Amino acid sequence: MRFRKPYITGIMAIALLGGCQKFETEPEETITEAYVFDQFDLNGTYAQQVVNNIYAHLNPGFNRISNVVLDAATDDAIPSAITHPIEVISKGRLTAGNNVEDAWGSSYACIRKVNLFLSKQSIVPRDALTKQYWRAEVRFMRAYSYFELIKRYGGVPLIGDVVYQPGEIVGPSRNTIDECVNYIVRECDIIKDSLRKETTTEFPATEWGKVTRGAAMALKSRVLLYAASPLFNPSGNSAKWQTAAAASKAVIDLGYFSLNASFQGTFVNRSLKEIILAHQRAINSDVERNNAPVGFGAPNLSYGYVSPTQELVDAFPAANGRPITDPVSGYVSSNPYANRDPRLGWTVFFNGSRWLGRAVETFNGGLDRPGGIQTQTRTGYYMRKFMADLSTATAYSNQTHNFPIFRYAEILLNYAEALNETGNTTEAFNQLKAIRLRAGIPLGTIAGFQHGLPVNMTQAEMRNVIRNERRIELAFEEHRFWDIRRWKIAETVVNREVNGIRATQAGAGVFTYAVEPVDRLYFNPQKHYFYPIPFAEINANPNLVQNPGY
Amino acid sequence: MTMKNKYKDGGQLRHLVSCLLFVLPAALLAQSTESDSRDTVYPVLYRSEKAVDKVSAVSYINGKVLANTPAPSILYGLNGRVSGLHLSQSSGEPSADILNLSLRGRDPLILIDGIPRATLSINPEQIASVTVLKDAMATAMLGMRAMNGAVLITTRKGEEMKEGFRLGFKAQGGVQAPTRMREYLNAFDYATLYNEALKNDGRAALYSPADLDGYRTGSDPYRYPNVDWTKTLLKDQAGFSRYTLDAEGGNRSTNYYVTLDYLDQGGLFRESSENAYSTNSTYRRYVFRSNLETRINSRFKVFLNLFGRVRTGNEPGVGSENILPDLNTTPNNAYPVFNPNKSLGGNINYQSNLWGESVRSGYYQTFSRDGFVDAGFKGDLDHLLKGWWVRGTVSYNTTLTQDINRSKQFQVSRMTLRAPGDTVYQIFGPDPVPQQNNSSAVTLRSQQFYAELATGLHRTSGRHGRDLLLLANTDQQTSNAELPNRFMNLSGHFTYGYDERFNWQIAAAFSGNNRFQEGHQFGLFPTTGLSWNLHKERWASSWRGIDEWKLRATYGLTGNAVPGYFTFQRGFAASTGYVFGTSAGAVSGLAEVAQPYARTWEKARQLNVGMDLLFARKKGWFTAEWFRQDNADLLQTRGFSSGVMGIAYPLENIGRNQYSGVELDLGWSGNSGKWSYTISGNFSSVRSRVDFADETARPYPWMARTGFPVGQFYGYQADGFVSSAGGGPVMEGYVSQPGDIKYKDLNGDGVINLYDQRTIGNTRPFMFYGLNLQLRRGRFYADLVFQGTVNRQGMITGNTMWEFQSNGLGQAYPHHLSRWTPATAASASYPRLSVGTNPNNHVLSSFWLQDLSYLRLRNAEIGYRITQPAFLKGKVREVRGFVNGLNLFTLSSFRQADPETPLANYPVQRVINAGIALTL
Repeated sequence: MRFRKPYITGIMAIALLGGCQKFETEPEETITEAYVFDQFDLNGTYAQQVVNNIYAHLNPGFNRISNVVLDAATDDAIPSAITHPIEVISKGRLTAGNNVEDAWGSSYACIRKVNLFLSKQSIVPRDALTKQYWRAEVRFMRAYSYFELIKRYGGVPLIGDVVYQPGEIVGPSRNTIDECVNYIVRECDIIKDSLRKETTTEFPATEWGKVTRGAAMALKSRVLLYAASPLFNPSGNSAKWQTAAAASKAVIDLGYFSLNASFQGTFVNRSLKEIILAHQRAINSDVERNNAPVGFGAPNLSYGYVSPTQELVDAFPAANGRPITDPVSGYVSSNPYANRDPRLGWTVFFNGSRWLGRAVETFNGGLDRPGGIQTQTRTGYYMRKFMADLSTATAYSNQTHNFPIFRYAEILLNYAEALNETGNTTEAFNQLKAIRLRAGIPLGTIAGFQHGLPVNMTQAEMRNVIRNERRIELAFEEHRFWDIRRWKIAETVVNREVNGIRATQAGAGVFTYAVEPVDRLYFNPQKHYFYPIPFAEINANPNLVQNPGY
Repeated sequence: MTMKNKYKDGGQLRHLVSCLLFVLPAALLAQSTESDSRDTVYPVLYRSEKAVDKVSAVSYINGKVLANTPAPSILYGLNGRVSGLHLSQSSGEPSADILNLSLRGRDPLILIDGIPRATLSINPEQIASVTVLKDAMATAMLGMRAMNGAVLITTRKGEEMKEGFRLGFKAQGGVQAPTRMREYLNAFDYATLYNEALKNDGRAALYSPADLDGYRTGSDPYRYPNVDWTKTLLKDQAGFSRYTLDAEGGNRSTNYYVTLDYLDQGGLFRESSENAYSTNSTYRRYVFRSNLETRINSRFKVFLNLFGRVRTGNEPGVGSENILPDLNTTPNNAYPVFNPNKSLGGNINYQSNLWGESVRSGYYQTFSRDGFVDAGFKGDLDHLLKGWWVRGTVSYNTTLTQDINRSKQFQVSRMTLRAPGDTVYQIFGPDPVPQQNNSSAVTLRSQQFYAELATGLHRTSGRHGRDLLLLANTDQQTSNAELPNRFMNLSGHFTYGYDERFNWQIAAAFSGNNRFQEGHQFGLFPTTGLSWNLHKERWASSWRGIDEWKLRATYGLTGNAVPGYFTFQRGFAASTGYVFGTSAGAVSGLAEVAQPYARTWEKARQLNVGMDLLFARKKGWFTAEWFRQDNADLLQTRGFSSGVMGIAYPLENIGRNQYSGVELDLGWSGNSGKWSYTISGNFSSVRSRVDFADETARPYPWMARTGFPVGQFYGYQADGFVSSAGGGPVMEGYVSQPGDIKYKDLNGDGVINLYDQRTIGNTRPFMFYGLNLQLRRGRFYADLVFQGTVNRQGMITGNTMWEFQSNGLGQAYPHHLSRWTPATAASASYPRLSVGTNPNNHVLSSFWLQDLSYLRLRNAEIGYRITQPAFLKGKVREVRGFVNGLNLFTLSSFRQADPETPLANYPVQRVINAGIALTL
């Protein structure tokens, strides 16, 4: 080679330069598995973040389905929007391809995270107690995810501690409901003593929100209650009710939990002895903004996404605890909201409720039911549950809005229901009395009644009372939706027209009320008691058997 | 993968015949006898080639015709002129590079002067030629970027000319207007149909007779607004102008080309005098290029090409891409533009006023700067070894894009008249209104470093010609803070020609990319091809009318690298966190992001067979191509991907499909009297077939996806309307009303569900064609390009097709007037109306599949050219005046919107433009 011209050599050198520098061949910024589960990470920072992310799989509740609550697919409420995705469920159109409330993928995602964590956590050099809590907490989340699955789909594949590897063929078949229930219960039993106990030393204020012993026992209580219910217990095996009662009793016997003095206060306070486990969130005002009446402009703009039904309102007794159909209840249909169970006013907005310093106007043409195209209540009611008391406030402010997953009132109702099914109506009645007393319904002076309930109810009467109490006490907390399924009453209660109220202003402060049908719900008992397994899953795994009817 | 010929049904032959039928009449129109030389030399990848040596499937376009198209991207000018290449516009918004290219059904690589870069918004004057490289032989040296074909753009380098230099100046300006705007129902029709839809759904009417009367008479525009939002927001037309200065020249030692160009494209938004600044959507572009090549001694030349571009865009503060879609969701009666108190109208459902979004949301600007430097040398080392040459190039390209956000927010109010005199205003939007944004961010920093070293031998001895090219290059692209994406190639190309009869080529690339896993980064891609000039055979000398006749075939293995970003690493990433403690402290979350997968490149075996014919003393020409491309290792998600895995499945190299088709080009040049003309047509057909998609077991045969075209539509088969309530079959669980769409119940179970979905629409190959007519008579000339498509279909759904979407808040369209009603049951062309998304009617079905085939007068230019005009006293060599246009005329059966871009929010523009060009 005779490169006599120096500039040619120069150009060649520049051309070759690009290949000579040192550079990063693979991105070092990737957070690899070895980086997360690191034997030198004395604080276990990343491992803790993996646990935090697993916690985020707790049901967020509230307006989680396209801005409405799950119970807007029951006879408790309908969406305010004129059409809404949740109608796929409430109007009986659910198929394997259109489920808007599918939890298959997200539940197994949680299970994978837990199994991955369990398989790797031993590497992290944190102290034994922290790691004991970690393991127990994530195993709770795994059991919780399985419960989320079985209440929707029935028996599902139990995959144990497997972490599927890339490229692996994933084809497990379904386990039976009993196998799944036993698995969850066994997990709860195993982990309960490894979890934090509800004591100030083990459970300081900074750890509030962590899964505790009580949470695992509450999960067991609910799972066994469901397992004993007609849908999951078609043979009517009464031993299952015994077990369910015992599981609820065990939570009560901890002696730690109690009902909060204020019903309304239960939902806007973070740390209470009534709350066993809640989906924790930072303070905000979204529950108010999403659900309060639509007549408030910026900065208090509210959307009123949920319209509670007349059926729910009628389920609340009068102030003395008697059903409004009872002449001695004191209920007057021309003034329907006076003299009612105080919980009614904390659960729904009705015409005349106070909010942000004015009366709610859900009468025809009122500020909160103006007519026209804008989204507004279709029933004459708005949802109020979970909100702070802003009757006299002038503006929204950030509030604690944690969605209760388990609270003590539910345990009492679980206990009452299981007891009653085993024939122990007396002890069941005692649980109801506690609930009603806290609700603000006094013992009363009517002979033969306590808190408005007859003292000598038959098992069937007691069953109806418990179911009604569960409906109103736990309204919008995602119980009704599953309760009407496990009781197998959905085919009647959500297969019918539901009603609202039409209030008309007859003069200043004078209203007339007329009940009117607002929507028709459909439910096919041949198939809708369980969700379909998603179509893509059935396709991808030939070992999965679809639920009947889909 | 096998290469057995699976075509035995004669389908290709049928296409061939139909193409001939289309193009022949065009050729028969021509009758005259002037010879047009086809011995062109055109650039191909890293080389140039004479037509006589052609082996591979390439199309060549002289860059001069590109300037006939008044559009920012030079690609517009290719539309309809090249067989195999289909371009479609996705938006008419002032900006650039918004054409989608499809070369034989795939997305080609774009190279400018041999370097992969897709800077297409430049002035067309600087383009010397465009070569479309279609088959494996043409792209072989691109290695793992060869599979999808390539478009090679070559810029002007200046040439030796006797005048020494040429200076050109061109000024042009025009107007652009949408080819077709969507039309909407007026408030009265809207409200009437809304009530009807509610009644159909069993709900109470929303609008009282008094309301309807209010909309009809327009008596109270505040309570009963009827706003034509399109007219309120948009002008009928916008301006377009461009000014170009260029100079070129050359002598024995130096040649150069220099250009400077300014383009100003206006937008359609109306503006308000209340603003001191512009809120319209506009695009301005400044382009500079200087190509210089000079000889430093008898053997070496060096070259330096500089390119600079500055682009500035302006748009309303909320972004035009956010305003225009709202036209489809804002009924005419949604709210008045202004309330009586001069505040902007709005309400809880429409919390943003469209006029406010246009003129009261501030403005948003984008600045983009590109700088390219290519430098290199070419050396002739013939004195060392006969026919030896060397060449080296380095190129550095950089782009910086910066946004200036000066947007702001505003409030809207709803007026409620509670009683006469008692007017209440309810405010929506931010309260208080925050101050105007004044932020700036660099949204893209990209750099490309390219280096290439090539050497070769060219020898001819007697009948034997040999040409060898060896080339090494590296292309390193860095975007923002990511690690570079680096391609490395060692490639070679060898041609052996015998007696101008046979031409055998072989090429191979050893090609790699750094983002694949180490040890699996390089692959070898060989290709070969052969051509045979039949007319050079002695026995062919007696053929009459046939001047040249060439047969050729190529076959090769090509690759397509889609490495992703180091996908073989298992990564965790920040994910949803949680909240702990009574003080509600947020904690971070971390989760696995995806399964790792070590990708490899996609592969194709490409076969191309072609024929070229020159006839009638080279006045007519005909080219035919047939290709088949078997693609394998295509990236896709496996079908058997179970949710029980608990994490998303990665893209894996598992897919296989096949593309095949034919391309025909036919042309004739001649003159008739004082007229000289060229008429040419091209036709292309692309058929695709999915061979493997890891398809899951389907319970019914009609559910299968494998074996059908890539991108085939699947859905329900519509089967007329339900005639009585409860009729069917309809969607599972749906309670039907008369006028609902019925579907074919394929599995006969009485209900329609996922098991009744199948291929819908045609499965025929996609075809497109172009027809080009060039005329000249004396000083007058004309150039027309028609372009059309066949078998083009689209699923038109959502809020541009369906009524009252967005949970009942959406728009409605004139085609809803022909909906099903009991009275029109026999003639209805649209199902009964409902509010919101109807679970039975508004699903993907053959009912919504539209034929989007069209024929367009894509581009036309007429001009008048005066050389050495006496009135300019000889100071000007040539004056030319011209009028040209884009998307001038369209034929299509689709009426609702422009057929080419039925879903575009910013409508495609028709441009009519006039200009004058001076050459000194």
